[in-house]
Amino acid sequence: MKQSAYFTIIIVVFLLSTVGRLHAQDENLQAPIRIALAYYQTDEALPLIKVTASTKKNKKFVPVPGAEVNLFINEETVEGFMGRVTTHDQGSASMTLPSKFKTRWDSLISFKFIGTVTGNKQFEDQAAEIELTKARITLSLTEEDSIRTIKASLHTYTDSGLVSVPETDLLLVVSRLLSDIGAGEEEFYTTDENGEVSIPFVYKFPGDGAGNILIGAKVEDHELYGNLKATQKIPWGSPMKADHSFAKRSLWATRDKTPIWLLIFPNLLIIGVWGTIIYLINLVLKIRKLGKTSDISNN
Amino acid sequence: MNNTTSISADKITSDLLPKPFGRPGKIWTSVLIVLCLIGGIAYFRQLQQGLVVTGMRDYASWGIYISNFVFFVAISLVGSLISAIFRLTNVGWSTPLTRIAEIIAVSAILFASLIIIVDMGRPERLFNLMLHGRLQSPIVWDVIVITTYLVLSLLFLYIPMLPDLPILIKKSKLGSGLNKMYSFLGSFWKGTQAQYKLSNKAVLIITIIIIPVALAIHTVTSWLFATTYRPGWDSTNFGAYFVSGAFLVGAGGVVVAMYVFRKAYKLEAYITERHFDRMGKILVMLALLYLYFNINEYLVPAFKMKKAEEHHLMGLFSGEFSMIFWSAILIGMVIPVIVLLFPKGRKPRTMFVMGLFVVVGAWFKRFLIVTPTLLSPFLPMYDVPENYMHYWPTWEEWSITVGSLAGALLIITLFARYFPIIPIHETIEESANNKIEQL
Amino acid sequence: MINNKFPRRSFFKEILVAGLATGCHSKDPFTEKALQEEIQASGEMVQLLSTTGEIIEVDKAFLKPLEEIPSISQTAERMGIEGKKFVMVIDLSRCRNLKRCQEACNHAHFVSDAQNWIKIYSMQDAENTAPYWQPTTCMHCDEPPCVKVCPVDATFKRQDGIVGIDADRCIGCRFCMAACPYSTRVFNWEKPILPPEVLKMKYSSETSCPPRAGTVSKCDFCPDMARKGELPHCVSACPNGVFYFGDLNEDVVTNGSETVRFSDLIRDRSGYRLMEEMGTKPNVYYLPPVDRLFPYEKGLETEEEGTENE
Repeated sequence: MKQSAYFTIIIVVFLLSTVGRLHAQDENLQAPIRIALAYYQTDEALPLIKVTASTKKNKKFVPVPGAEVNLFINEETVEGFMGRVTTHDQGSASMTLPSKFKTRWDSLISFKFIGTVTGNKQFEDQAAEIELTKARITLSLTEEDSIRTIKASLHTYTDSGLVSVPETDLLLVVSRLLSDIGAGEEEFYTTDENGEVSIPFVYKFPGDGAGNILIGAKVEDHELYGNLKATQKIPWGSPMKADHSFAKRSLWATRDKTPIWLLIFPNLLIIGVWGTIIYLINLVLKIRKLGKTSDISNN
Repeated sequence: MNNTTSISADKITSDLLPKPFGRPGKIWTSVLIVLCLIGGIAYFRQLQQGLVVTGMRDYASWGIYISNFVFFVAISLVGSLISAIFRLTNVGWSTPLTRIAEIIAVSAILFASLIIIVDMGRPERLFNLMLHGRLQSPIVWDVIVITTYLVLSLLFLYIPMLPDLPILIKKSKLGSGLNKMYSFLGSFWKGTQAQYKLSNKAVLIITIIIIPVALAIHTVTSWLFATTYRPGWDSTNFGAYFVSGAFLVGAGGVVVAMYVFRKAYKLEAYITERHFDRMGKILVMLALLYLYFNINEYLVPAFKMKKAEEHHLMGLFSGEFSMIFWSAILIGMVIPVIVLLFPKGRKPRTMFVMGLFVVVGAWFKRFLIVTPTLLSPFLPMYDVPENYMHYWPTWEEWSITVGSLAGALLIITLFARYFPIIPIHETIEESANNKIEQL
Repeated sequence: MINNKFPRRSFFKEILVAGLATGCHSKDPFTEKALQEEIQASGEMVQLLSTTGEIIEVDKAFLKPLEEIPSISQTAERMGIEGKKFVMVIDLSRCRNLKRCQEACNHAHFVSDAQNWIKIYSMQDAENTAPYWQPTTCMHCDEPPCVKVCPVDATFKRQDGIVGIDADRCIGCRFCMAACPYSTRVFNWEKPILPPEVLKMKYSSETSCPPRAGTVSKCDFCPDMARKGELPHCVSACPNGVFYFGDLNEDVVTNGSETVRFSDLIRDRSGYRLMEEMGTKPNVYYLPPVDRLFPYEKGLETEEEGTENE
């Protein structure tokens, strides 16, 4: 009897202290933060690292604005320090690898990016990293007998040079202002044993004034290679007609572009009426002068 | 040739000279000043807190400030009606009324400009109108025409008054402030033939040019509404509709002023019952004309009942605004017409009451033009707080509006205190030419 | 091998929803300027804490090596972005009055809930026609009646189609509000209650922030976001993909997850504009509420929740 009572007391005390600890955790000002890193690399440019910070609130993940995240390449030291970013309203921030790392970057085949949150009053210390292998997409656009072909191939860097990557999904797109639209009928094209995809390009997209459009080949969210994009500008679009309506005179334009009829007729009326008013004031002044001179002549 | 019943020049002068206020005059002026002050305090609150102190919100974004503005612009047309049109058509009996009409016009136009500044969300940026003004905007057209009309009306008030100034200079104490003011304004007037020639020429020119300008100000003001798409405003008729309404309210205003000055300054010999009789007939004509335009403005869209207009029209005929709508028509147009058709109805006191009816009815009519349309938007009033869907002016708005009306009356009152409200010289001239009507 | 503490797949949607176009630089996409320059060490050191508890000393100059995107001049703000013509397509078959668009827009532009720039109307055109929810933004008309009547050029039409408002010039006459047939403009009747650092911000007509008392505000199609290569807040916030946004000249619009050709979308789904007969030539197209994602009644739930919370 006494032993079971003793045990009960221990269990109750243990439970209470756990609850107390849980309570203490709630009162602890630091909440857990989740960081995610994403790697973006386009053409020959230095890569861009995107950081997304979120935290769990009411069983849902909400973005964390204003979180300062330190970014490192390969190691968490002063040599690997890229910079510090602050997440914006939607909880993300991005940063390009500074140019001082360029030579080091060119020599790397596999690499790691680390993002850390430390010394934050609101959140616990946290780190996240992504480890990737360098890869490149080669894009070639050819036109033969008025058949346009987009060919893209994916290669990864190894110690023995470039090796083609088969069985990988590529997106072939036409780059637009705020998004990319598919250049082919399928969303994804899988690379063959040579790491290549090839499709005919049949669409007609509006381009810039000279008819240029930007065609791209993308790898999206790959485990090993991150997000890659290769682009090429080519006059395969229809030239855009220049829109000069902004420079035209209209009722909704700025004051320097008033319609001509509105400049002529109202101004004629205004000049006519105000000219008369000036003439009238002149008459009053004349009356005044007459009065003064008759004063003088009377005196 | 002497007419035994004509009044002597001296009597005319002493009758028409401005007199100091009696007790009623002092009370009246004090009340007006107090109302202006209350309006000023309310405006100060509005400047501090923003336009949120008014009852206007996103749907009823124009309220009684704007309808008051339209009212002032409307009443200011009376200057051109009485002074110019009557002068041009050689209506001799209108001479005693010309200066009353002109001072009402000047005062109304001044306060129209003031109340518009009151309605602005950012009055300190007023000069943006000059710095960045766009000629494409109807507001800029309105500013130009109103300024033009103000200058012309001031000239129209001043130039015919020149012959009276020497009398005022003579009759005022030498060296006093008043004397200095009169001297500054007109000591150079000697009454020579050369001067008369110039002044008559000037008056004639103003008479001719002020009529189109007066028509312009109210037409352009009507375009502030007619250039939008909204039901009730999207009418090709608005210019004529507004101008006819302006003539009516102006005439009503003059009748009220006539009666008040006649009583206050004992001017029965000059503003006679015949004047009231004639103004009464004119009022009837103008009221019928305005009624005609109203029928066009309401009957025709009601016949069609377009979807967008249905809400607006039903609100006026039988809904939220029906009380004001029918009262404004009844009190402002129908009753005056009926009463004034009878000679008994054109007696001075009745005329005064009818004049008041016309003016008050016109004020509410202007409100009915401005706000109900805004509360009948094309897209439903949805997803907004309840108070956005209705409009009731706050005490600040009422105070400022009443203050502006008081201010306009104050200017007229003070003018009559220091300047002859009936032209002295012209009256003497006409009396000498036997044109004065007998009592 | 990815060695994250948490799986990344679930983040993908979040990243999209966060609104950054995939594969896009965070630089100004229109100038293609490389803002990467050699940053010189300043000599001033700053201490960072590492996750292992060590102290890392870095040069202060390297802390933020990215240049801020330069602020745009007033003239450039009034001219707009050359060669673009922004257009929005709103898919009425998908809207269920969630009001996420309103929340995002209001939050980004410091708008109070009484004066939403995006109004979601419960529409029923006639007694026998179907009810539907219609989110309504500023139409950014090609012949804007509001711009025609502004006396001081405080609201203006840009070459990229956007109708902007300069709250530093607006005199608060509210003529534009009377002129707009879509009732899309709101007025800042009172002094906005905002933190002081927000009120001190310099006003930009591209962010329409901060709101100024006594001036007019409205939806601005978020040109500041477009300059960064991002979608307007409402487009990103809608979980049902109701809003499509893009450049009419490129003939492509996107709602964040789907990118389609604008001409195909309008032709196949029979897009239309509001109050076409007014002649305002709006730049917001609507896709009719056919084959709906949700029944109309689903949208009433949000209204009820709203009244419960009041």
